Amino acid sequence: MSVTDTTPPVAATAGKPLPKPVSPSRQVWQMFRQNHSAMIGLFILFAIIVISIIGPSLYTVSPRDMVWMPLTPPGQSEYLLGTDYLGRDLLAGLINGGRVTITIGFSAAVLTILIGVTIGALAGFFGGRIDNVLMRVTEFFQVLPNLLFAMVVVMLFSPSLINIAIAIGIVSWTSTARLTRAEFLKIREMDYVKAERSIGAGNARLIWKVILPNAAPPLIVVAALSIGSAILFEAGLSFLGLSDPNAMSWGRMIGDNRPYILDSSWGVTFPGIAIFLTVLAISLVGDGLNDAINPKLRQR
Amino acid sequence: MLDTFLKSLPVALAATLGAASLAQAEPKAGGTLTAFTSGYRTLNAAVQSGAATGAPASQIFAGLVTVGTDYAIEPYLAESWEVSEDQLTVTFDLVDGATFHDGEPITGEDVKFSMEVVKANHPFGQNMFGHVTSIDTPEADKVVLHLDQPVPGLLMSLQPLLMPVLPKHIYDDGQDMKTHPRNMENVVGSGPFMVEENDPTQRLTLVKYDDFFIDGRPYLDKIVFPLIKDPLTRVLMLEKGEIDYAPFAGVRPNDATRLEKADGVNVTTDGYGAIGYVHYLELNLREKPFNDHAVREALAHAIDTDFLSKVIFGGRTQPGTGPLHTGNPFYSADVPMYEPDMEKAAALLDEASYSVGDDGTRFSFVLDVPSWAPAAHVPMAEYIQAQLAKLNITVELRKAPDFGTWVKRIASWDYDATMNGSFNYPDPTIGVHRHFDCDNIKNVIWSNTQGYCNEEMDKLLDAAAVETDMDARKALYADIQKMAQEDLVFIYMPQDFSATVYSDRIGNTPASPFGALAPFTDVYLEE
Amino acid sequence: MLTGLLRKLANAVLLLFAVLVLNFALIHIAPGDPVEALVGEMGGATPELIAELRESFGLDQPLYVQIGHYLGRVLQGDLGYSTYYDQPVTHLIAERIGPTLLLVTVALLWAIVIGTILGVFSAQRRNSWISHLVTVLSLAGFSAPVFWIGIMLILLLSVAYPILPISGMTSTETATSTIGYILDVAHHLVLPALTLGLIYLAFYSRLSRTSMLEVLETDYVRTARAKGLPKRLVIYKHALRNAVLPVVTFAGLQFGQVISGAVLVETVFAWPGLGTLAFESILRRDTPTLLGILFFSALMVVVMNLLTDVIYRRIDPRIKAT
Repeated sequence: MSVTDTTPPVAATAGKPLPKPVSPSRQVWQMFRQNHSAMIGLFILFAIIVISIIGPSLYTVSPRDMVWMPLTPPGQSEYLLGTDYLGRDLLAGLINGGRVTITIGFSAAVLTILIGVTIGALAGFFGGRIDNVLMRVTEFFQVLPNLLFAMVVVMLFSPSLINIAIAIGIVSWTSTARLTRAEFLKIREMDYVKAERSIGAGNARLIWKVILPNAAPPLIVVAALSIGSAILFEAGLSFLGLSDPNAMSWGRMIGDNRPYILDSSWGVTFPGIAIFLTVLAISLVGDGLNDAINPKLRQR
Repeated sequence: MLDTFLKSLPVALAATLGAASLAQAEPKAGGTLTAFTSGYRTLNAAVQSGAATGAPASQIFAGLVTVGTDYAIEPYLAESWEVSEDQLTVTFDLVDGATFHDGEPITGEDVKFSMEVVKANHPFGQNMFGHVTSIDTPEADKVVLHLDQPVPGLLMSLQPLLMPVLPKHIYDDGQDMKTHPRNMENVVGSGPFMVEENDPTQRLTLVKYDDFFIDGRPYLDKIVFPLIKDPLTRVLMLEKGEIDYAPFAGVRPNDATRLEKADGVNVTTDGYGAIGYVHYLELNLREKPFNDHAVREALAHAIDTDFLSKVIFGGRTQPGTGPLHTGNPFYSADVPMYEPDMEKAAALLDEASYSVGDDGTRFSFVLDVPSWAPAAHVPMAEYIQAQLAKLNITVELRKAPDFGTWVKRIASWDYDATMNGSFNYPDPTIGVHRHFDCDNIKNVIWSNTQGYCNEEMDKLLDAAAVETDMDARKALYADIQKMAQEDLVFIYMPQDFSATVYSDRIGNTPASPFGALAPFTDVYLEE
Repeated sequence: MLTGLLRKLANAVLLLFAVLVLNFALIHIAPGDPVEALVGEMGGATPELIAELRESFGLDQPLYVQIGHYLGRVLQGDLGYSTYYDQPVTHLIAERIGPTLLLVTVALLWAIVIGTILGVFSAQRRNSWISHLVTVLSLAGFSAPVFWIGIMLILLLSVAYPILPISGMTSTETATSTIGYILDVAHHLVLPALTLGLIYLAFYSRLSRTSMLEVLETDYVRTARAKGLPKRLVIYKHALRNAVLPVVTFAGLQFGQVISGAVLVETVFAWPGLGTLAFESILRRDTPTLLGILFFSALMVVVMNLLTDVIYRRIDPRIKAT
């Protein structure tokens, strides 16, 4: 195992060698379907995404309007979950905040995968000097204290949604790169790759059409899980006050309401539960995918 | 004005004595008072303004005078003073036998040195003592100030908070005053308490100075300022009575309600009048749309500061009516107000040809939110954003990543609008004129950064600066406040919510308009 | 092996150099500078004073000159002066590193010990309640924001049932004795260490479970069992030793990331460590302190990586340099 890889073990063990799959997606789905906790996760995730998309048009209270007395407890007004320290509707905040939280989580994860896979693929495919340089770069980013560095980036270049997603992406891609590199190194030496090469396939084709699809399964798992960690990351930054002041996110709700916990625990409890459920659902789905892709592990 | 203060002096003293005799218990010597600090960088108030340094520094250093209730100037290190007929010379007599904490005598030379240090290093140094042309020390216990014009607020600036008397023999060694090592280590003061332990990461402990120049004072043996940065911790400790006295407690209005219910704990918002902390929405008057008075009027109708103070701040702050704090001696409520009226606001904007465009908005602007008073500015900014959205005005909030970035934006006039706040510091020449004077449109923060210039206003300000008759001066400031509201230089927000939380154990709680920033010579602990 | 180590060492130095340069450049090309923050703190200053301050911090020089000076000073062990505290940055870091190390060490230790025990047990009995507990625990630990867990624990154990202090490292009163001081700190340490440890616990219980399962299926364990050795003996003599390997590795690596890991927990509990110092330095634009902490943090990671590498070779001589 690689000594400098700090990804959770799920991702680390996902990189087992795979036989060339026959009809992979269907097989995986069948395995996945039998996994109860993964299906529950998928259901929760689906529900949260649906609420985030259509919720704001069904529940039309603005999350910005001061609609009631501040710090009203749940169930004591027409606003079901009560109000925050400015008298804003917490339920409206949760529904609208989900959109922002999930968007940031998703875009940061896309960025993570994009950078990680590109660097890992190039390093693993070409090897030699290119590999050496790219791995130095990867090490460099691994050595940076990730949360601190992201904080600095967001602080220096103002906390907008885009900057936050970029900052998370920049500090999160290294383990993906290592995993991709390992997969590429392995698959590069397989017979079918050698065969393609011998009939004159170019590098681009080999990377894109031949190796990447075969390296994809563990990467998909990592991609799924990195949405979860990006959401947690965003929540942490928001909690520290590094959030876009024009967008309500769950993490920001926790940070904003934290000074008032003596009088209103619900202001931090609900958004926390929302984050917890979302990330939990993503983890369950990720684990389920992992098991389905790699059935040998599942027997454990 | 100086005469007025002098005349009022015996009355004020009698009032304080009366209050003391009414107290149920005789003042008792001894005991340790626990206050708190949220962190300070220096103990030398001559080079740093603000309460973090001011609260301990006013105990460690003495000033020439103190300020009593109703802004009465009372003798302190100066036992008496005389003002010349033309108001241009002030002579102080220092008390006999006063010494610094290292035993060295306090002389006129020290006073002269201190004033020069303050003038050169304190943010308000020039405002306070810019008109002091020379300082003589004819005798060891005499100081004579020569002025080039009457300065009505001069005596007010001679209290320990604004002009601490520093030991010349320690500081006059050529080192930069702002970074002088003795501002934090082995601090030698002139006040009722001396530094026993100064560990900025843990606590500051002050002990009674036995040779203090007022006999039998201070009553307290010790004042401890533990470092407590976390506001929640502070609230819980106050609730349990673990802190006796917490000025600038940094509590929020809802915490105040909670603390009032606790046994033996009192909350007061008194003692902040002199500092006079006001908040406002600052608009860049140079550019569209805010160069248009009608737009500002529309905003004033749309932003209901009464709602803010009642709902968001739990009715514990006063809505702002102008540049002066309601606790300021020159405050006047007789100013034009703009009642909340969204329809009128919309009509004003339509008339000013800022009607709703094809994109569904009238106009949009960026509202900067500084990081130094989030408990006040964030709610205000979010309220303004929500409120103006109803008028189809898009407000984009921009939180400054750090203090310096905000300062730079505002000081270089590179902004649309910002939440802001400032201190009156009690004489308006110090804290108020700076925002309105045409000559003070500068690239300096908390100057006239919004770019307001009105000759009428300038005339009023110049007249008020030298007027020594109290009533005449009050009348001038009433006009100034009226004009500020008519011109809508700023849109005033609720005043700051500042509270002192203190326990029942404390006798003679500091009652002057300076509150906890005045010396604790008379404070004692019961039982 | 020695040359391998030397190469790693050279590599580490190069990395640290890159960290210094990048951070320095990043912070200095961003808008805003420390002098503006300082001037704001002072309540404004004249343009002359601003220019003077800028000169005193060397900010009037071109960027490459500033970087050169900075690197030169770092080589001499000088991280510069904090613009806010007016103290050497090394002094500030030395002052704050203690509390952070204390917090992280205690959190890691309890999490590793309990986590390993839980993981090993659950690997042995795959369908027992312990096994399910480990699954639930690790999922929860991975899914809940750490600062939120901290706040929930505060609500429970400091507000609803006030048995633990809400924040800080010591009480307001000066402790009269050493033992009193230690007990006071320990009392304050419980909540933050518990919070931070819960995240680690999730990780280690899962890690040790996975690696234990892996080891149990290896040939030599099977052979040992086939030879009729008692199950317990096999597990403790052969399997555990190997299963602990990754735990040691990760512990070393995570320890390197201590500062980053502790920022959130330190903030929630107002723990006076490096994490809070870093956060405050960002708010104050205290560039020298911030740079110092980033560098120090990278240094910790590099050193811990090297150490882990050495220890790893010790425990398992079969591992060759990767």
